[in-house]
Amino acid sequence: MSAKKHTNSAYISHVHLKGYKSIIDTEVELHPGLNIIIGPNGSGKTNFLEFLHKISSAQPNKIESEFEVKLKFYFKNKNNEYTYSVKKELEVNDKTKKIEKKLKEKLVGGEQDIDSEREPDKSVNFFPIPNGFPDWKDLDSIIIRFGLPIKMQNLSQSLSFTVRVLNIGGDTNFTYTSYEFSPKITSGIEKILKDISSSIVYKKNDISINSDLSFDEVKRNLKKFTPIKSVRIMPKLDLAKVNSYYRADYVNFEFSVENNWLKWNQLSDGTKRLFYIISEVTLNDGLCLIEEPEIGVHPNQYDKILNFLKEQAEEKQIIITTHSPRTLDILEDEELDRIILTRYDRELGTKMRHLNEAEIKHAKNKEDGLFLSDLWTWTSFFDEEETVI
Amino acid sequence: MKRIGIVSENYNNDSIAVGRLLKKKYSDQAVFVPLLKSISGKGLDEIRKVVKILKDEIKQKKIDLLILVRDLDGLTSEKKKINTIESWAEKIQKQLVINPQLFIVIFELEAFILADIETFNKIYKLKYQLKTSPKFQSEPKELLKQITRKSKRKYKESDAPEIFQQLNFQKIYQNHKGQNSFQSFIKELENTLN
Repeated sequence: MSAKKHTNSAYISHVHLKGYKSIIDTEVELHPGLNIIIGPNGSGKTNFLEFLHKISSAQPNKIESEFEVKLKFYFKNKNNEYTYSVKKELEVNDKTKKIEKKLKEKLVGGEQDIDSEREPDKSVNFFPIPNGFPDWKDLDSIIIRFGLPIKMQNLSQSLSFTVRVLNIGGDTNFTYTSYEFSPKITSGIEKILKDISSSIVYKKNDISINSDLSFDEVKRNLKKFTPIKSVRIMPKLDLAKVNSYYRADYVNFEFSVENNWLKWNQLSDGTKRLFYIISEVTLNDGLCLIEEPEIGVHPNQYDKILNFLKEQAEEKQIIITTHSPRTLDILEDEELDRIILTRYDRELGTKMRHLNEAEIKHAKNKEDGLFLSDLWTWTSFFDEEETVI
Repeated sequence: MKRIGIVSENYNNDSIAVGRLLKKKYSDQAVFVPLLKSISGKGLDEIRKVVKILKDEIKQKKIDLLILVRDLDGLTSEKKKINTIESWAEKIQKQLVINPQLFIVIFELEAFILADIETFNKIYKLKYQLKTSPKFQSEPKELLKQITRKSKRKYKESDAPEIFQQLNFQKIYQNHKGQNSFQSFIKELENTLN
């Protein structure tokens, strides 16, 4: 999983954050692909993920803190890498004595150098990424927290959606709209419904679904990495025509586990979380932030989830927090710089760092037959301070 | 300053407790480094694994001496049990094959608490008087649990680090003597330290 293998066109490469919850002033480099954050409870791992989610979900103006975020863009066709940095600073105006927010942006690489300074525009939620750069969806993040979001529980209810029919050049085009009265659902499930609606084929009053769906990728991953061997939507999609719209009601997901078709509320909590992780990560093209993917998952099953995340990380940036030592065993020797250690210091707040050279050397030269998980479990290798009496 | 590693059946209780007790006497000669986090008594019997981890720990933490602490679960006169533990320690010693080596095995931490029963009484607000020598108490752990059964504070094994912090080193040295005792262990340790 070297950097060259990654096909990410955009990823967060550097974060310098001041004054966000437990984080007083911390700076960390991030890699494309997989990044693993470890550290004791209360060290600030979740706060960091939360910040990344806000910053990459087009909500930078909702963050009062000072920060500097560097994004790297890679254009395959030009074989060029650009670094775009956004820095938000709070400065006291000498005349008015008021605190002013300044947003500084800088683009390095190529011919489109930018170096400007302005006040953050509250009407614009997005970073002012220059024209011609990858779409924000490349960076747009999802955050998978502990347990299941309430929205996910709504899968036990019937869903509805409407499809607007557009006739363009003789072809019938269907566009998804969430139905006002349908229960709220996660972005992953919504993407599945959109995907289905955009693949509807309408011929001679007969409606069918094109089989080439990105939802199929979710199904393949579920089959490969979880006990869920298939997913179907029941009853068979039936659209009722209302003026120029079609409406689908009573849309229910069913899951094949151990050769039985089960409804959402018949799945175990662990299986529900597996579906949640697989569907959200598969369907998100941007940054995936995951809190403790091991929670509620059997160790053998967790190995499969780690394989899934490693495979997905070839195409997208994935940052996970974990308390599971076996997570580290998926890293090759040359990937040890993907581990980020966090600790909380009463005066300095959350501090983050990578393994230093001596630690990497130690990890590479550990006794034959020992894994990184052994060092984490049995020794104080990953502890910030050695226990000495 | 020597760096003395401590391995026991419970890192958080036993290793820390022993380290705290020894520090009272040897703080100017040594520091004590608990090793093998998360290990259990059964885990210590996985000799090959234990040796691999110990090799790594000894090298990385520059350990000069190693103290192995194991629960006897019986009297120090029970030869068979002692032989089993000694044979285990020998196997570890043989497989480690790195210098410096010194292995001292001591038994039944709760017997040390009995050896300074006054401090225990003070912590648990008791007036218990020991009827036999602490070394001849067959189940010291059970005894401590039994005598605190009706107390406001009941003895738990996780109390060990706090208790050992307050125990009187000299009293234990005087009261726990003979073969396989605290006193014999300390003499052996001092021979090596000096």
